[in-house]
Amino acid sequence: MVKINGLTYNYSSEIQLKFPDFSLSKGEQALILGQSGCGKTTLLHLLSGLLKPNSGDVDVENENISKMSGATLDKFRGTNIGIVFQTPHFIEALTVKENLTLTQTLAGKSKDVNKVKRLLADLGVESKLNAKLNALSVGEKQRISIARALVNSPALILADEPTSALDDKNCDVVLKLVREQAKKHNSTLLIVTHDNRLKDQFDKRIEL
Amino acid sequence: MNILRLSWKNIISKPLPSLLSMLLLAVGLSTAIILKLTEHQLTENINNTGKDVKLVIGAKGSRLQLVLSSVFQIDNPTGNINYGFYTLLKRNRMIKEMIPVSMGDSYKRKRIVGTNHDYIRLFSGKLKEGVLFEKPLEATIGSVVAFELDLKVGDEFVGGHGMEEVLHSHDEYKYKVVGVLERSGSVLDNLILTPVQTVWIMHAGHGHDSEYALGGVKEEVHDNPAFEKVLEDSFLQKAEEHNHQHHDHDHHEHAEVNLEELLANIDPKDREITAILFPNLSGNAKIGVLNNANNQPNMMAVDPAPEIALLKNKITPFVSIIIAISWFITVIAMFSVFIGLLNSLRGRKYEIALMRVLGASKAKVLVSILFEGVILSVLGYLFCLVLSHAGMELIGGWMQNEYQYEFSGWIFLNSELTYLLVAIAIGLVSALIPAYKAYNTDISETLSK
Repeated sequence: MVKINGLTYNYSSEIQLKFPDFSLSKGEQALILGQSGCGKTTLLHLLSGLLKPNSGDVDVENENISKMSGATLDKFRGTNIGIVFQTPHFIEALTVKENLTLTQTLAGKSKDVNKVKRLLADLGVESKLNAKLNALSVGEKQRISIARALVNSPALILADEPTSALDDKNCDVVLKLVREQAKKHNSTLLIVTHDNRLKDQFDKRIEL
Repeated sequence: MNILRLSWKNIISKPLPSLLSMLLLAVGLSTAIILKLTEHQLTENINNTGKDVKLVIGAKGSRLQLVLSSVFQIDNPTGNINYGFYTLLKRNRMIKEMIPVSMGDSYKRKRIVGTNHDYIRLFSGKLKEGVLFEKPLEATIGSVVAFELDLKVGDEFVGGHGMEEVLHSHDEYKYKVVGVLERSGSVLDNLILTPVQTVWIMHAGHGHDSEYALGGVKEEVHDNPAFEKVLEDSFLQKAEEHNHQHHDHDHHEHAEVNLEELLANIDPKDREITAILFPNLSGNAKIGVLNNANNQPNMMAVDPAPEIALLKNKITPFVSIIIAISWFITVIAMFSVFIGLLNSLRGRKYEIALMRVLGASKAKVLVSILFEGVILSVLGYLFCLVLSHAGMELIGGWMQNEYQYEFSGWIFLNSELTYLLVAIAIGLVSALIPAYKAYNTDISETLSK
């Protein structure tokens, strides 16, 4: 389902990153661990096609995304990959509902408000449906960003330090939610983190 | 949630900067449109009013002033000429139509014009109620006069000497409204029309020295022997009664005075008019009249067409200045849209990257920013339509008093549609650089910050 092979990325002639090969089967949940600056975010960007590798391949759903480009790649990413960022960002001009339906339409899917409501209910933020983003707490925003990553039921969910901004209690809650929801949507989950609180909770760990 | 809606939401989420850009654009464009509307309506009025008058004869003075006062009813008259010249020309069979006009009096700032029925025909005036004036002191009034001064058939009023401000009232005699004209969009709307004889009667008491022509030019000597003859004949005939009448007049015993008798006793030298208008005059007849009038010491004949052209030329530099100002404002508006978008995008860099992550292509992002520029400019254009037509209606009210014409805010020109294209172009141009920046956003770099 996800497979990387001989992946390298060069920021400059001095800074060259080489990533270990690994693969994940459908529905599998894994952790990528490493210290700051070792290329965790770079790997995540390579996996989502936001960056092009200098060599090697990234396969998602049996498609080699390192060979894709332009609008095809954008469309593929929108449909098949959901990303949860370290700091949740949204389109501030829109409400929670509009942010989520925009995510559906940008991926080329039709607007499905019921699905949005169900997701928000699952994440315990159904009351925020019509709220403006700047009225939400960090924890609430992170839940909404999980909802956004899941709203198109992607094959792959990538999470970049999803818990590092949260306290212990919220860390547990958010992690539990991400894992539950990924399982529910039968999505492969890959969490990139340096947060040691998560270390023991995953069987599959990839060290950078 | 489509892209257009997203652009709209982004605009309204920053209402103040958006409003400022929109307002500036609206003000710039509406200045241009108001100017266009004014120019159009003014030109149309000038052409409509001036086109049927081929020659004007009046007292010597500024040629343009004579045309403005007697054809357009705007300026003060250059002076008066003797009615005798009119009767003299009446004998000329080559002249088919002549319209005497006599100005100098007014009622509540509406001009009273002594004339004949041909004047109404000249501007295609039609009666709405009542009849056309026949006898002295009868008045047929324009629709705007009737409306604004609340006059109707059967009403009486006292006119005054002077056009802008009444210097003194002619309270010896009252005008009687006998008819109201339909709205024609011409000078007629703002005029009170009466036979030329009314004016003589009104001024009979003030004698030959009366300066009811504000230009103050009086005629003294007539070199034309034929003209002299006419004057002399009528003068000798009436001399006796005239003296007697003058005596009566001084005592202001008008109640018993028979108007016709009074009229008959007015010294021919006191029978004056301001100007004579000639419709349908051309060729030899025109040249003949022109020469004849120009040979009189205190008269001149003027062809209105070149004077109108001259007037238009005089207006041109002012129009150019206003056009320049309107474009200046429009260019500033363009910069305002540009800076507004650039500013708003600086804060939304992450959002642009986010859109790309969520599956939006570079082109979609580009289009969404262009949409923002276009939406702002189309809104500005719509607002400018409201602003310019409301403004025109407002200015029209003011100009009506100045120019005796009705300017309307409800006249729409096809050229206003081209301003929509101008507005869209402004929106696109000012959004081009911001959109291109968004198009080239490095997603990975932006998200890593």
